[in-house]
Amino acid sequence: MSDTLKSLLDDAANDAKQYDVTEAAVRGARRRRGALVLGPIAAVVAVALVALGIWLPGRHTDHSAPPARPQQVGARAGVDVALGWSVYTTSGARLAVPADINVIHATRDGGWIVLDLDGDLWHLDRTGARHKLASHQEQLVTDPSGTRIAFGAKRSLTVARLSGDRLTDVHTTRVPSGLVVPTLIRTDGAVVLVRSMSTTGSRYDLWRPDHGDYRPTAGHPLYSVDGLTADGRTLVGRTGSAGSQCLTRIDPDHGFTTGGCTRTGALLGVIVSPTGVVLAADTTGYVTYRPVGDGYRKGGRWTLATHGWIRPGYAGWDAATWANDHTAVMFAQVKGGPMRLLRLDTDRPGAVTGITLPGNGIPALADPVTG
Amino acid sequence: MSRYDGFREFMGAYGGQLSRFAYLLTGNHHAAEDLLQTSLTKVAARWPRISGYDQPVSYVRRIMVHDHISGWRWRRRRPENPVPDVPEGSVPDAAESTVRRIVVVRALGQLSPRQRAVVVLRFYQDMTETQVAAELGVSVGTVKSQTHHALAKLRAVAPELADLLHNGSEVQA
Repeated sequence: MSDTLKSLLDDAANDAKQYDVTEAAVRGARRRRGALVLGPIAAVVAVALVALGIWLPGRHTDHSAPPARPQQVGARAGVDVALGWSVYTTSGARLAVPADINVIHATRDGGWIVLDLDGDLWHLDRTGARHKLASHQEQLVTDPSGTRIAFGAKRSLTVARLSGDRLTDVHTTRVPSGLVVPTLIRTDGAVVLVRSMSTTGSRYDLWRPDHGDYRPTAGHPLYSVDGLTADGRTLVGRTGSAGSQCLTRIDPDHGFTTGGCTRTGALLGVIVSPTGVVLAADTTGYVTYRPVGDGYRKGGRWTLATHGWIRPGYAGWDAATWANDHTAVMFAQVKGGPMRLLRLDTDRPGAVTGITLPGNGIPALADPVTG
Repeated sequence: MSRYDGFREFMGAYGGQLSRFAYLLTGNHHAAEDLLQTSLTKVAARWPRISGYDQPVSYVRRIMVHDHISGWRWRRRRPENPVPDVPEGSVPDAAESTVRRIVVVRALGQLSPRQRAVVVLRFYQDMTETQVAAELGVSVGTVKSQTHHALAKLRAVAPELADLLHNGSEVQA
């Protein structure tokens, strides 16, 4: 195995560039040497300024706060944007989030459900009021309507209804040791799709909370499950292998039977719109697939090279989201330029509306509520 | 002659190797460049002393590993960019290997910084467990345990690679 892993790492390392930081390091070293002399002086000056009330460090505590007009990002994109410790709303407000955001979803009541990097699960409303729902969690999914949530830790899975800032109709089950994570939840809360990861690959299984505790089955091997169809009953996913994938619809209620296979080649990621349109990222850009009959028809393409992007999404292709059935938004970085929030309109294949995102934080998009 | 001339020569010889090492540790170009610059700033400031060591490059790597781990702590587990850059000039017939590389880097991103460092040192740098232990300043037992957990996690989070990572029994020390 060590030879195989070495070969994989060698291959991955070939993607590295030669980072030309030698002169920057020399300049930094010179500054450090200078600071050894100037540091004590600066400290004295700072103390003096504080004493005089001229400089009050700490008044602005959000280290990742963008410097300029972030509200325009949300307003023009049509979605809320989460950045570092803040959420910027479409109405122009900036709300503090309890901690660094790991996962964020919009809720039906207009707020958000946030899982932070400390594993705390919060409900955040539009006034900024927050309420902790759970601690020590690692995964979070919501249903497309924003009324049901499922979250999990190492040994447990919980599904619940969101009622304002409270959880009701709560069902918790233990899961076997290993990595069993919630993947999707149906709007009626009756079915939670879980993914069980093992040394032999991912397998998908169902937990029906109304039927009691989760009882693992052998599961169903699929390459990936990416979303739900509009009726919430059929899964959109992929079969095959990394280099040869097949976009398909899957019926979880009947043994995970798959529908027609639309060959897509190697996809990096897929997001499914509220009505089942697929936006897929591949190594050259984005492409849409519309459901037609039993399969999918390829639609518009947005090519990376055309726009000078260096990657299909700064925060990952899965940080992209559908604002509505015709508009997807995602983060991307343009070669030699800043990170940008991009809007793709399916009615205008190839065209991109870019909005500069201020700041250097790693943002997340709040998936909009549908229905 | 500048006190940094020797450092520039050193980087001319080892810049590529250290860049690749930084990329595997961090998983993306921006973070790799940041890590390399942060570590090299320390190295340049102390170059007259470091240049006298038997293996300066080993010392630089050690600084990078420690900066990577302590930087992670300092940032309070900010999410890493899970998306490695798509190599320029990708063509469809290379898509599978491109996806595999992306899967590898993304899977590495799921490891803790220390596990990641162990994997990179152990398998990319071809170090023995004893050498890795010395590099990280931990016991050999810790290296074994970290390696075991790291490989198990790699198989779990990257099922696409499970077969590749499974066609052997145990890693030899």
